Amino acid sequence: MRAALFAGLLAMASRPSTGRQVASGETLAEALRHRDPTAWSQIFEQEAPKLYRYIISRVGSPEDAEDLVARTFEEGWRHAHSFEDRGLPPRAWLFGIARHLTASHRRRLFRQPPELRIDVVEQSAEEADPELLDLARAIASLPRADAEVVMLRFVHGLTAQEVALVLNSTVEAVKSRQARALRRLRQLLRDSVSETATSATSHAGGKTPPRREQSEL
Amino acid sequence: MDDFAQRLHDALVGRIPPSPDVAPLVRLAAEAAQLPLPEPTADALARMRQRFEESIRPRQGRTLLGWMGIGPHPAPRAYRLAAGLAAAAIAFSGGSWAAGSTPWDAAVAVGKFFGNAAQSLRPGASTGEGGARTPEHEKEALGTPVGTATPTDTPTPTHTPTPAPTATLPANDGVVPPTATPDPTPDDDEGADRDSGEDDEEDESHHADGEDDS
Repeated sequence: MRAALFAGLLAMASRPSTGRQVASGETLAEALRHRDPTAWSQIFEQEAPKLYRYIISRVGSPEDAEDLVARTFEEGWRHAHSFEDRGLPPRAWLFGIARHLTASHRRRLFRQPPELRIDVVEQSAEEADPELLDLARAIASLPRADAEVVMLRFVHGLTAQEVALVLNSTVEAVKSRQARALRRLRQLLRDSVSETATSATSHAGGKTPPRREQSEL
Repeated sequence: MDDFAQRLHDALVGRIPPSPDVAPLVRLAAEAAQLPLPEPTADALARMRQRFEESIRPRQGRTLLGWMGIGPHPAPRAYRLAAGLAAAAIAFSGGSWAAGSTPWDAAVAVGKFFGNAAQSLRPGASTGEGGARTPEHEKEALGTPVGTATPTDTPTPTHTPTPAPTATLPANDGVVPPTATPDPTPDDDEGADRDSGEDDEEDESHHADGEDDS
């Protein structure tokens, strides 16, 4: 009994320290993996706003977005040992965590939250720019895989390599998908312009210039 | 990957000027980058930062949940095991000293308790009513040895059930095998009831004579 008591006290006394100073030659990735509070605070300041924009564009609620952003960093902290330095900024890894948490957030009837909520864009636009709203509607009506690439790649500004990491895919696949997505987007906008022109002509009985010139598309 | 996708990608990253076929798509991508999305307010950022800092703040000592392996800061398994052994040692020592016995005696008593519990809960050890019932209790309650069939000691025709067609009668020399129609005896009123109607008619005639006489 005394030996077990002594072993327990010895184990409690020799627990490893959780905080450590960032070594001079240590990279940010190593500091994050070692759970350096300074490095994690730095990455929080850099990526929290971007993650918030990504999450709220899918869930719509500011409270849910705050909660998911915090949980993203908590998950990252908890699994910091699994972060691999692939020569990319840590934000791709954090976006992957956020994507996973958002997909399982309040899942209804096995359906994930959409890649883009139109109401979020409508509320954010200071002036109701009809072209941007048309673009947002076109993105929202794309197939999920195409919409996801467009949002991550162009709206949220991730590189093709980062998008490949987030989607657990290859860079070549991301390039092909972005090309296909932009082609479909262009076709959707053309169709939308044609429908607008046709309906305006039939109602007004005359020529009405479309909002977006077809030559631009 | 086709050539178009590669040329489009190179144009998007600014490596090459956009060709006429990819130029509209490059413009479209640039417009998508202008899509307005909500930014977090200063208060929202402060709340998120505070919540995250609380979760990563180094603690002076682990919480009870951490020692149980729950929460964002679980203790390593070896440490938890050692802590559990230490807690058990303290509990045994304290409890046994309070009871006036040695820790070894306390451990032996605990082992005996669990052994008895396992024995009592074994199938067939009780009637399933819960609780440990000794065989003596069973015998007293039922009047028969536990686990044995209950043959009829003194079979009587009235209490003998009609055997099933496929039933096998026990071979027991001391027991009168049940029969559907036992042999009638003159003084056996119950047997006479089951007999043919001659005796009944005879009785009725006796009664009738008796009535006529009166």
